[in-house]
Amino acid sequence: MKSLIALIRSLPGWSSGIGARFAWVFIFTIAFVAVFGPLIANEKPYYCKLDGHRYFPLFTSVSESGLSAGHPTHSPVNWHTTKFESVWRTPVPFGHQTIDLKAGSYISPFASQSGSNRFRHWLGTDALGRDVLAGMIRGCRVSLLIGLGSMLIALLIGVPLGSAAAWWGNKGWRFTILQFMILLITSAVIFFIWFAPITIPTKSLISIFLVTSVVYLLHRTRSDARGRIGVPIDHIVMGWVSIIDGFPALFLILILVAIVPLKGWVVVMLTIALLRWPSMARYMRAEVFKMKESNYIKAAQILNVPSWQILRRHIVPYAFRPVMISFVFGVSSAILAESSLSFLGIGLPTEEINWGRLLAQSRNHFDAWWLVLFPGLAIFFTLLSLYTIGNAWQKGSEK
Amino acid sequence: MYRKGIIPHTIFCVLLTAGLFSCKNAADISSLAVTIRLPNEPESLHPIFSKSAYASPIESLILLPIAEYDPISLTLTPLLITKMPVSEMVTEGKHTNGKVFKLEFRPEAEWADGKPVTGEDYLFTFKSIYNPYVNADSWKNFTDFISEIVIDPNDLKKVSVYFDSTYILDFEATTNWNLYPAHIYDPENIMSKFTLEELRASDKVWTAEQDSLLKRFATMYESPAFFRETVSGAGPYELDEWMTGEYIRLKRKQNWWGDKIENPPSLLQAYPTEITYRIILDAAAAEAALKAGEIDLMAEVPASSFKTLSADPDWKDKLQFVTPPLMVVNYLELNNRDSILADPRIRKALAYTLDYDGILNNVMAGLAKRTVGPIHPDRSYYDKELSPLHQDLNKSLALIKEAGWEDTNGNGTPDKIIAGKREELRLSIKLSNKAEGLAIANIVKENAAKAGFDIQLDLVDPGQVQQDLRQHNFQVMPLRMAFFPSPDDPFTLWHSSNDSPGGSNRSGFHTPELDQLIVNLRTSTDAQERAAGYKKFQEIIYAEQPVIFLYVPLERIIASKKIQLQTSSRRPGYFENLLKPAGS
Amino acid sequence: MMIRSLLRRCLNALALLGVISIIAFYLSKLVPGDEVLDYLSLDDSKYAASVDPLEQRKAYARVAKKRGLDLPLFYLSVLPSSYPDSLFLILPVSDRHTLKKWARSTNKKEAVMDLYRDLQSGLRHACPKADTSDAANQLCQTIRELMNTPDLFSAHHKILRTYHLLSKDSTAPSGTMAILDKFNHHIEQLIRSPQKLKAMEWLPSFYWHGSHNQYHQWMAGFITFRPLTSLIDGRNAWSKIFDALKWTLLLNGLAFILAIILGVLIGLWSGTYDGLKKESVINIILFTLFALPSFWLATLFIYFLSSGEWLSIFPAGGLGPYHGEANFFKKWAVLLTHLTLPVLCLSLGSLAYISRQMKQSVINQFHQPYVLSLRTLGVSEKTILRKHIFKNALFPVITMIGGALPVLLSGSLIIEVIFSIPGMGRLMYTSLVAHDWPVVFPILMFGAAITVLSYILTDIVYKWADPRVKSMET
Repeated sequence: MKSLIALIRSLPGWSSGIGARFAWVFIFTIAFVAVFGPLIANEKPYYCKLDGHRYFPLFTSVSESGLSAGHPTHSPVNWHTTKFESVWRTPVPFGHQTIDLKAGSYISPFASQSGSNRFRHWLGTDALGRDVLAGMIRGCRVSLLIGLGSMLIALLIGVPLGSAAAWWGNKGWRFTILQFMILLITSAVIFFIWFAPITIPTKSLISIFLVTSVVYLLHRTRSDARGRIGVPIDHIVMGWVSIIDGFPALFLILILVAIVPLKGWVVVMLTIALLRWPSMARYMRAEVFKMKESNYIKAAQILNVPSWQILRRHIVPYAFRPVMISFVFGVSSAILAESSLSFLGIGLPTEEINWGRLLAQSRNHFDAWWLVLFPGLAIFFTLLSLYTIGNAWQKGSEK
Repeated sequence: MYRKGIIPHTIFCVLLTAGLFSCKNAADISSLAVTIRLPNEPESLHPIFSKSAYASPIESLILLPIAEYDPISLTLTPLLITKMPVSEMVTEGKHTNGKVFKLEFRPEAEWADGKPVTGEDYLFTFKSIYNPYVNADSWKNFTDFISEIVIDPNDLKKVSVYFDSTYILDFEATTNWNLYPAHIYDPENIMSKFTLEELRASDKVWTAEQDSLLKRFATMYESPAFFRETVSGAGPYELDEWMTGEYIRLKRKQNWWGDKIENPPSLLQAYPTEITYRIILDAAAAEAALKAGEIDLMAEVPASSFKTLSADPDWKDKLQFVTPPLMVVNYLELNNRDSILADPRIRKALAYTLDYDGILNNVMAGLAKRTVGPIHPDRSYYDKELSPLHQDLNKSLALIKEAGWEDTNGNGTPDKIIAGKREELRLSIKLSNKAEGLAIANIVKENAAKAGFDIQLDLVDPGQVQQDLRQHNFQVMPLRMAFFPSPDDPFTLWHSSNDSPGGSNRSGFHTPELDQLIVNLRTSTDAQERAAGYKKFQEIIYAEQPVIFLYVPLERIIASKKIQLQTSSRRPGYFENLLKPAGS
Repeated sequence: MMIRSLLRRCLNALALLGVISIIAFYLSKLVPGDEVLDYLSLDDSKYAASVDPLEQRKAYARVAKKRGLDLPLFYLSVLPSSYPDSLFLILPVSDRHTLKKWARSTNKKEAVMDLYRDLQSGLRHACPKADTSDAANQLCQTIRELMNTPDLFSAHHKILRTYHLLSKDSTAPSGTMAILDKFNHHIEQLIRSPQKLKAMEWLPSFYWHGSHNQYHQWMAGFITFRPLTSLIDGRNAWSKIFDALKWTLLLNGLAFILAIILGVLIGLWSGTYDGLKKESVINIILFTLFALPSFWLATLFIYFLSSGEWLSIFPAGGLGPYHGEANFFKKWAVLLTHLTLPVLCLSLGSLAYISRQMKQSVINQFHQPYVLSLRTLGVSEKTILRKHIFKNALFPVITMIGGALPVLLSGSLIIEVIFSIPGMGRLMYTSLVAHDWPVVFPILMFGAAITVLSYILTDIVYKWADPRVKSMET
């Protein structure tokens, strides 16, 4: 218990005011709802008993048709209307995909709704008759997943590249002529392999084998003598950064969603990561540059501590803090971008629903204020919380 | 002086004012300017090339067709010709045993600059399609069956059109297209240097000079000048201004020849003096414009907002709400070639899971009609004895069980061994981003899940959808089928010869009995035989459910109460030329 | 010195733009769907009573040639050596797929091309004109199916089956059987004795196409501002772009100006009164505004201010009937009422950001020693504020604003869609969804060019305006 309190106190910004505390509480609630969403809002009950048989539909793959087949007297079985002997339902008895055609679409939360209070749509229904509360709960999951996921990937790409660019600069990383030749020849071989008439799995296997052997060879043949051929890492990394900066984001997102055969939201996540890693890399690079000049790093270099160790032990953990601040802001802008995209109808598969989608439905039906208010508030508070946390962290680290 | 003349003066003034008042009520066209919303901007107003469905009503007001389906009676009525031609057998000459249609253009008919409409223009329109550099293939498929066109040397207004073989759409091919004025669209008179025969000969080799002339014509014909600027024809309106992205304005011709016709058909009447088509893409913005009085008429109103607005008491006296039935049907295309859907029991099981009324109410806010088959409910030969399907989950479950599907691996979805492999009852609905299709697909998914179907939605690019439809690379697809006022010809969609890669029989359903029936329908002219044939056709489709028919939507039109309109089931549901001021 | 680094930067920028254009071009070619088929869209069932494959192919070839799609993609192409050389000349594109499969499975590219050429001439011979026999029809259909059959064995099967069918048909014209014989011969040649690859053929073959390739033609056209026609409606793409550009400039320009003026003023005020209660209230309001998603704000505005549910003082969208107004002032009045809400939505977010930056900058300035010295000299607070602090605080904000210049021209898609304003963002989106590349690419290249240019400009301005750098140069 004590360690838990200590952990909470150590959260950045926790001590800096009530606003930040609320922000953290909100974020944790959203995360909780995101993780446990299907257990909170689902059409299937936790437990039901029919003709003496006990079922746990939420945890097993018992379906309505399966129950209908097994209990012909109750067929067709419907989670809402069938008279079970005993049943425990989820707090919100609607899944995000459940279409309640009897209640109808665009039902206001205040309208008189058919059905008992247990099955009331507390936040109304959307264009297709789906429950808005269930949709909001689902939206937590999608937004957080894409927001966090894309920034984590951006972090994973940006931090190593940024620190490498700053540490080795343009002259740091050197190859001996031997290493360079090995690299050249293997690249050519891999290139030719791809055009040879062999099946794709074989090609991939051979390529992977070649790449690993090259890495191993390079490791074995490294020498302490200064290599002749340098790899201008800084230029390469900053070149990529400039290319991605200049590329219009909308074009990239729309095209990749059309081309890449993965699910829509995965592509959106990867594209946002692709568009965001340059800023991570730039931050990291700036930090590492600053630290490179400091005395104790220079001392470590004189003491012949290998580069990898310096980076791993001394630089990266300390450069992390400003990068993490930009990470928090990045997550908020990723969530905003993702909401905007799903507002326009891009990226999210049709069965999924999320805050932006709910907002978009209000455009066709202006008096559905519940479709405007609730999802908008959700997005707004999420962004507000993230900004508060980021701000508080920034102020804290400036002191 | 005044005293003497005051009585004649007053009498004169009274007469004058009376005269003025009566002049106001005279029977000439009172000025009426209407503004209509256009949901999408057409790329051009050149009937041969324009692809947008919104272009054709506007084009038909400017470039009058020779004959067109009357919006009220739905029969082909002659517009530019004096009467509909009767087909006669040819007894001598080149086309013996073929048919000939004799057309005569109205003596009053003339183009915008006063030149008369003649057979030369008819021939020119034809020749322009067959110029090898002009991309008019959709028209060509239609007109290929015409063998020859002969203009009467004594009377340029008389044309004879010959058909060597029987073609069910021969009337349409002869008369149902827009006529172009040769002297305006071919100012250099290029096409008159070529005959129709040599243009249609597939192995003709052109000399360099001829080739360059043909190219020159094609480039000019297909240029933006004729797409957007010079659009001129024999119709009651002329193109006044086209402001891109904003509006298209048509103005009534002052001394139009059609005014002289006695008892003119609907399409030769034109009341508004000015028609402005405002281009508003977003339905919500269009609604706002309607409420603000910026537009007078709006079609394709989303069902839910139509319902809300019509129930709103504030707008009842300012707006009128009409719902003519459209000649389209929404259905679920099923690929009968698929191993799961090849079994009619599974198809019927799927049909029985759907809550049709729920779909109607949800997607169309109740503004639609149920239908049972590929014949529009308003047709005379619609089979009223077949009752539409209703949701019956027990029947679905029973059919699935009867077809041999059972959940043997406990994952909630029935499965079966087909061709040695265990298949799950999993289907995928392929669709693009259109709102109606999405709503239908989502509801189908939810409904069918109650009987055990595991349905995935596969959202793809609209271009991809077309490609997959062409290549029959789908399982289920929500589509919309359009009907034409001409008699239904089930050949394209249901005959076995069209069931090939890229062919038009998309569902892949055909039986020998149905094939024979279709051929009979194409060639028979006996009305009773045809009615019996159509009945049998509908019964077969109903029994086999190769595709699942959902509903026939009602068009939703809102108009200002300042105008009165006549509705029709022909697209777009209203006719701009028939809009009159309210109370007239 | 400066000029040399400037030149270097410009060259870098050009190289960057080149790389971006190549990547964008390549990505656009990977999009699924055949643009020519979509354009021809012969799906109209009314006219599809008899779709002649030969006419279809001719139409396809015509449209493809007009659009320049019969050229190879890039200057250099690398193909496996088993593929035929002139693959890029084959139209329609679906045929290429079949040919590739045939070539891969048999390694005999010449024979494959011979078969293809014979299939084409068979099409010309057999496909219907108005009066052809059933047999010729059958042959035509078979050939069409063959073009879609990547597997040679099933193709062989199809030919034999058609042969069988037609040999019983007495009405078949004489040439038909001979044609089928030829096909049969070719396929049998291909299927039997698959060739082994010689050693050299394991390597891919390189082809150099010079300037006769799609990318070059497109780039050359773009750089020389050659008229480009939009694929959707045949209009000049440049005019479409410029039409949209002026609205975007107007909208973003107004929002920009509003955001800067208000942001700087509020920031100045906040900086001076930092710590006071009224300032912290404003601070919280600004912070909230910053977090507000602009599309939510837009929807709320529409709901409350224009839909009629509450108030209806603003129009819901579009640009209004400003054309109808002859008077200059009336025109602008209509336009401005329609643009108020979008401009507000756009500017509120950046306003909050700019004011925070300005406030920070002002506070920094207050801590500078020169302020203290000026105060001791007796200069009034107001003069200090106006003459010194304002200018010095403005400087970093200006450089930051310079970086926001590209956004000015790219348009804000969401606001434009919500308010139905025909700007650049919406044009880009609709053109991209409709695969209208002649419109998409110029917008893309302009956006990229402006971004790159703005970086160079901000660098120059920074270097030039910063007196420390300047004095070091001299």
